[in-house]
Amino acid sequence: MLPDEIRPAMQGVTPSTIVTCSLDGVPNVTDISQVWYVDKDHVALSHQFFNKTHRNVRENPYVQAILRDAKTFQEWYLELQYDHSEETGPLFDQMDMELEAIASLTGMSGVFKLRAADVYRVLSVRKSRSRQ
Amino acid sequence: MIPERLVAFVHGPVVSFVGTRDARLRPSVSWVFGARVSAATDEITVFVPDIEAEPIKRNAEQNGLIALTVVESISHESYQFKGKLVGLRPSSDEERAVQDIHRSKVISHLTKFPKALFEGFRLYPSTALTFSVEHVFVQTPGPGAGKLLDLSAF
Repeated sequence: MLPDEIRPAMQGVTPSTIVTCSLDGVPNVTDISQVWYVDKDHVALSHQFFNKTHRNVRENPYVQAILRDAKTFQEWYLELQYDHSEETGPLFDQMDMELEAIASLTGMSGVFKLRAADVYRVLSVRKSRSRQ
Repeated sequence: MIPERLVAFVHGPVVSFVGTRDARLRPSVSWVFGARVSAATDEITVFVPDIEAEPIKRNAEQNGLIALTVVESISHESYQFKGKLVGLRPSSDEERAVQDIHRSKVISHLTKFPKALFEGFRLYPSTALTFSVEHVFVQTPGPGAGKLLDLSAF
Protein backbone atom coordinates (compact mmCIF):
# COMPACT_ATOMS: atom_id res chain seq x y z
CA MET A 1 0.00 0.00 0.00
CA LEU A 2 2.77 2.50 0.85
CA PRO A 3 4.21 3.98 -2.38
CA ASP A 4 7.97 4.34 -2.75
CA GLU A 5 7.64 8.12 -3.08
CA ILE A 6 6.56 8.36 0.57
CA ARG A 7 9.95 7.12 1.81
CA PRO A 8 11.62 10.59 1.95
CA ALA A 9 8.90 11.64 4.39
CA MET A 10 9.90 8.77 6.68
CA GLN A 11 13.50 9.77 7.34
CA GLY A 12 12.92 11.71 10.55
CA VAL A 13 14.30 14.99 9.21
CA THR A 14 11.07 16.78 10.07
CA PRO A 15 8.69 15.52 12.76
CA SER A 16 5.46 13.79 11.90
CA THR A 17 2.17 14.57 13.59
CA ILE A 18 -0.28 12.01 14.92
CA VAL A 19 -3.74 12.14 16.42
CA THR A 20 -5.19 9.45 18.63
CA CYS A 21 -8.45 9.22 20.55
CA SER A 22 -9.19 7.86 24.01
CA LEU A 23 -12.03 5.43 24.60
CA ASP A 24 -14.03 8.25 26.16
CA GLY A 25 -13.67 10.18 22.92
CA VAL A 26 -11.07 12.86 23.60
CA PRO A 27 -8.65 13.47 20.69
CA ASN A 28 -4.92 13.95 21.36
CA VAL A 29 -2.46 15.50 18.92
CA THR A 30 1.29 15.19 19.21
CA ASP A 31 4.48 15.49 17.18
CA ILE A 32 6.68 12.43 16.89
CA SER A 33 10.23 12.33 15.67
CA GLN A 34 9.80 9.68 12.99
CA VAL A 35 7.47 7.18 11.37
CA TRP A 36 9.48 4.10 10.38
CA TYR A 37 8.85 2.09 7.25
CA VAL A 38 8.44 -1.61 8.10
CA ASP A 39 6.97 -2.97 4.87
CA LYS A 40 4.40 -1.90 2.27
CA ASP A 41 1.54 -2.42 4.73
CA HIS A 42 3.09 -1.57 8.09
CA VAL A 43 4.85 1.32 9.80
CA ALA A 44 6.32 1.65 13.28
CA LEU A 45 6.14 4.47 15.80
CA SER A 46 8.49 4.81 18.72
CA HIS A 47 7.11 4.24 22.18
CA GLN A 48 9.32 6.39 24.39
CA PHE A 49 7.14 7.52 27.26
CA PHE A 50 4.04 6.18 29.01
CA ASN A 51 2.09 9.15 27.71
CA LYS A 52 -1.42 9.85 26.47
CA THR A 53 -0.67 8.55 22.97
CA HIS A 54 0.58 5.27 24.43
CA ARG A 55 -2.55 4.88 26.58
CA ASN A 56 -4.93 5.91 23.80
CA VAL A 57 -3.73 3.41 21.19
CA ARG A 58 -4.08 0.58 23.66
CA GLU A 59 -7.68 1.64 24.33
CA ASN A 60 -8.54 2.57 20.74
CA PRO A 61 -6.11 1.41 18.03
CA TYR A 62 -6.94 3.98 15.34
CA VAL A 63 -4.45 6.73 14.51
CA GLN A 64 -4.14 9.33 11.80
CA ALA A 65 -0.68 10.63 10.92
CA ILE A 66 0.67 13.46 8.80
CA LEU A 67 4.15 12.81 7.41
CA ARG A 68 6.14 15.44 5.57
CA ASP A 69 9.07 15.40 3.20
CA ALA A 70 11.70 17.86 4.48
CA LYS A 71 12.88 18.76 0.97
CA THR A 72 9.51 19.48 -0.64
CA PHE A 73 7.14 19.77 2.36
CA GLN A 74 4.86 17.36 0.52
CA GLU A 75 2.62 15.90 3.19
CA TRP A 76 0.99 12.49 3.39
CA TYR A 77 -2.04 11.38 5.38
CA LEU A 78 -1.96 7.87 6.79
CA GLU A 79 -4.72 6.05 8.65
CA LEU A 80 -3.22 3.42 10.92
CA GLN A 81 -4.32 0.66 13.26
CA TYR A 82 -2.12 -0.43 16.16
CA ASP A 83 -1.04 -4.06 15.72
CA HIS A 84 1.67 -5.02 18.22
CA SER A 85 4.83 -3.87 20.02
CA GLU A 86 8.38 -5.18 19.72
CA GLU A 87 10.79 -4.66 22.62
CA THR A 88 13.72 -6.54 21.09
CA GLY A 89 14.86 -7.64 17.65
CA PRO A 90 16.09 -6.05 14.43
CA LEU A 91 13.29 -3.46 14.08
CA PHE A 92 13.75 -2.32 17.68
CA ASP A 93 17.54 -2.13 17.28
CA GLN A 94 17.32 -0.15 14.04
CA MET A 95 14.79 2.31 15.51
CA ASP A 96 16.85 2.69 18.68
CA MET A 97 19.95 3.57 16.68
CA GLU A 98 18.13 6.04 14.41
CA LEU A 99 16.31 7.63 17.32
CA GLU A 100 19.61 8.28 19.04
CA ALA A 101 20.88 9.94 15.85
CA ILE A 102 17.76 12.15 15.65
CA ALA A 103 18.13 13.00 19.34
CA SER A 104 21.69 14.11 18.92
CA LEU A 105 20.84 16.18 15.82
CA THR A 106 17.93 17.92 17.53
CA GLY A 107 19.51 18.50 20.91
CA MET A 108 17.33 15.88 22.59
CA SER A 109 20.03 13.39 23.65
CA GLY A 110 19.12 11.91 26.99
CA VAL A 111 15.44 12.73 26.44
CA PHE A 112 14.57 10.20 23.76
CA LYS A 113 14.67 6.60 24.92
CA LEU A 114 13.05 3.80 22.98
CA ARG A 115 10.93 1.44 25.08
CA ALA A 116 9.28 -0.39 22.20
CA ALA A 117 8.67 -0.31 18.48
CA ASP A 118 4.90 -0.01 18.08
CA VAL A 119 3.89 -1.57 14.76
CA TYR A 120 0.78 -0.31 12.94
CA ARG A 121 -1.11 -1.64 9.95
CA VAL A 122 -1.64 0.96 7.22
CA LEU A 123 -5.35 1.30 6.47
CA SER A 124 -5.04 4.09 3.92
CA VAL A 125 -2.48 6.48 2.50
CA ARG A 126 -2.88 9.60 0.39
CA LYS A 127 -1.00 12.74 -0.56
CA SER A 128 -2.11 15.89 1.19
CA ARG A 129 -3.72 18.55 -1.00
CA SER A 130 -2.09 21.31 1.05
CA ARG A 131 0.57 22.20 -1.56
CA GLN A 132 -0.03 24.49 -4.52
CA MET B 1 -7.65 32.68 31.98
CA ILE B 2 -5.00 31.88 29.38
CA PRO B 3 -1.75 33.49 30.63
CA GLU B 4 -0.10 36.22 28.58
CA ARG B 5 2.97 34.06 27.98
CA LEU B 6 0.86 31.34 26.39
CA VAL B 7 -1.03 33.90 24.30
CA ALA B 8 2.31 35.21 22.99
CA PHE B 9 3.47 31.66 22.34
CA VAL B 10 0.43 30.80 20.19
CA HIS B 11 0.78 34.10 18.32
CA GLY B 12 4.48 33.43 17.70
CA PRO B 13 6.35 31.57 14.93
CA VAL B 14 4.82 28.20 15.75
CA VAL B 15 3.34 25.32 13.80
CA SER B 16 -0.03 24.04 14.94
CA PHE B 17 -2.30 21.07 14.37
CA VAL B 18 -5.93 20.54 15.24
CA GLY B 19 -7.32 17.11 16.07
CA THR B 20 -10.89 15.87 16.19
CA ARG B 21 -12.62 12.50 16.05
CA ASP B 22 -15.76 11.12 14.44
CA ALA B 23 -18.70 9.19 15.91
CA ARG B 24 -16.74 5.91 15.57
CA LEU B 25 -13.82 7.41 17.57
CA ARG B 26 -11.62 7.57 14.45
CA PRO B 27 -9.34 10.61 14.81
CA SER B 28 -8.51 13.26 12.16
CA VAL B 29 -5.79 15.88 12.12
CA SER B 30 -5.06 18.93 9.98
CA TRP B 31 -2.43 21.64 9.86
CA VAL B 32 -3.77 25.03 10.92
CA PHE B 33 -2.11 28.27 9.97
CA GLY B 34 -2.61 31.30 12.19
CA ALA B 35 -4.57 31.75 15.39
CA ARG B 36 -6.10 34.41 17.59
CA VAL B 37 -6.31 33.91 21.31
CA SER B 38 -8.89 35.67 23.45
CA ALA B 39 -7.45 35.47 26.94
CA ALA B 40 -10.50 37.18 28.42
CA THR B 41 -12.87 34.45 27.24
CA ASP B 42 -10.39 31.54 27.18
CA GLU B 43 -11.14 31.00 23.51
CA ILE B 44 -8.81 30.28 20.62
CA THR B 45 -9.72 30.75 16.97
CA VAL B 46 -7.55 28.82 14.52
CA PHE B 47 -7.62 29.01 10.75
CA VAL B 48 -7.91 25.63 9.07
CA PRO B 49 -7.18 25.67 5.32
CA ASP B 50 -10.35 24.44 3.60
CA ILE B 51 -8.41 22.13 1.31
CA GLU B 52 -8.02 19.65 4.22
CA ALA B 53 -10.70 20.91 6.59
CA GLU B 54 -13.74 18.75 5.80
CA PRO B 55 -13.22 15.91 8.34
CA ILE B 56 -12.24 18.43 11.02
CA LYS B 57 -15.39 20.50 10.43
CA ARG B 58 -17.67 17.46 10.24
CA ASN B 59 -16.27 15.96 13.45
CA ALA B 60 -16.30 19.27 15.30
CA GLU B 61 -19.95 19.79 14.43
CA GLN B 62 -20.77 16.19 15.40
CA ASN B 63 -19.28 16.16 18.90
CA GLY B 64 -17.49 19.48 19.54
CA LEU B 65 -14.29 17.99 20.97
CA ILE B 66 -11.13 19.83 19.89
CA ALA B 67 -7.42 19.30 20.55
CA LEU B 68 -4.88 21.87 19.37
CA THR B 69 -1.14 21.25 19.60
CA VAL B 70 1.18 24.21 19.14
CA VAL B 71 4.90 23.60 18.58
CA GLU B 72 7.94 25.87 18.47
CA SER B 73 10.10 23.86 16.13
CA ILE B 74 13.58 24.94 17.28
CA SER B 75 13.24 24.63 21.07
CA HIS B 76 10.54 21.90 20.74
CA GLU B 77 8.50 23.74 23.39
CA SER B 78 4.91 22.73 22.83
CA TYR B 79 1.49 22.79 24.46
CA GLN B 80 -1.80 21.09 23.79
CA PHE B 81 -5.09 22.93 24.30
CA LYS B 82 -8.24 20.88 24.70
CA GLY B 83 -11.78 22.13 24.74
CA LYS B 84 -15.16 22.44 23.09
CA LEU B 85 -16.23 23.96 19.83
CA VAL B 86 -17.76 27.41 19.99
CA GLY B 87 -18.25 27.96 16.27
CA LEU B 88 -17.15 27.43 12.67
CA ARG B 89 -17.37 30.03 9.90
CA PRO B 90 -15.45 31.11 6.80
CA SER B 91 -12.39 33.21 7.68
CA SER B 92 -12.65 36.93 6.95
CA ASP B 93 -10.28 39.03 4.87
CA GLU B 94 -8.76 40.36 8.08
CA GLU B 95 -8.14 36.81 9.28
CA ARG B 96 -6.56 36.00 5.94
CA ALA B 97 -4.11 38.79 6.73
CA VAL B 98 -3.46 37.14 10.11
CA GLN B 99 -2.60 33.95 8.24
CA ASP B 100 -0.19 35.83 5.97
CA ILE B 101 1.45 37.52 8.96
CA HIS B 102 1.78 34.17 10.68
CA ARG B 103 3.42 32.64 7.60
CA SER B 104 5.91 35.54 7.51
CA LYS B 105 6.80 34.92 11.16
CA VAL B 106 7.40 31.23 10.52
CA ILE B 107 9.54 31.94 7.44
CA SER B 108 11.67 34.42 9.42
CA HIS B 109 12.05 31.97 12.29
CA LEU B 110 12.72 28.69 10.49
CA THR B 111 15.51 29.98 8.29
CA LYS B 112 16.97 26.54 7.62
CA PHE B 113 14.04 25.90 5.27
CA PRO B 114 13.72 27.75 1.94
CA LYS B 115 11.02 30.42 1.98
CA ALA B 116 9.38 28.89 -1.09
CA LEU B 117 8.47 25.77 0.85
CA PHE B 118 6.22 27.76 3.20
CA GLU B 119 4.88 29.87 0.36
CA GLY B 120 3.68 26.68 -1.32
CA PHE B 121 1.00 25.96 1.26
CA ARG B 122 -2.62 26.68 0.35
CA LEU B 123 -3.70 28.67 3.38
CA TYR B 124 -7.02 29.96 2.10
CA PRO B 125 -9.90 29.88 1.74
CA SER B 126 -9.95 28.73 5.31
CA THR B 127 -12.34 28.09 8.16
CA ALA B 128 -12.18 29.94 11.45
CA LEU B 129 -12.66 27.33 14.15
CA THR B 130 -13.24 28.78 17.62
CA PHE B 131 -13.12 26.65 20.73
CA SER B 132 -13.22 27.29 24.45
CA VAL B 133 -10.10 26.06 26.21
CA GLU B 134 -10.79 23.78 29.17
CA HIS B 135 -7.35 22.28 29.76
CA VAL B 136 -3.77 22.96 28.66
CA PHE B 137 -1.12 20.23 28.70
CA VAL B 138 2.64 20.42 28.41
CA GLN B 139 3.64 18.72 25.18
CA THR B 140 7.38 19.47 25.09
CA PRO B 141 9.16 16.14 24.48
CA GLY B 142 10.36 14.46 27.66
CA PRO B 143 9.00 12.80 30.75
CA GLY B 144 6.91 15.91 31.59
CA ALA B 145 4.95 15.71 28.36
CA GLY B 146 1.26 15.28 29.01
CA LYS B 147 1.30 17.07 32.35
CA LEU B 148 -1.72 19.29 33.00
CA LEU B 149 -0.61 22.90 33.16
CA ASP B 150 -1.64 24.90 36.22
CA LEU B 151 -2.53 28.14 34.47
CA SER B 152 -2.66 30.12 37.70
CA ALA B 153 0.98 29.25 38.38
CA PHE B 154 2.24 29.54 34.81
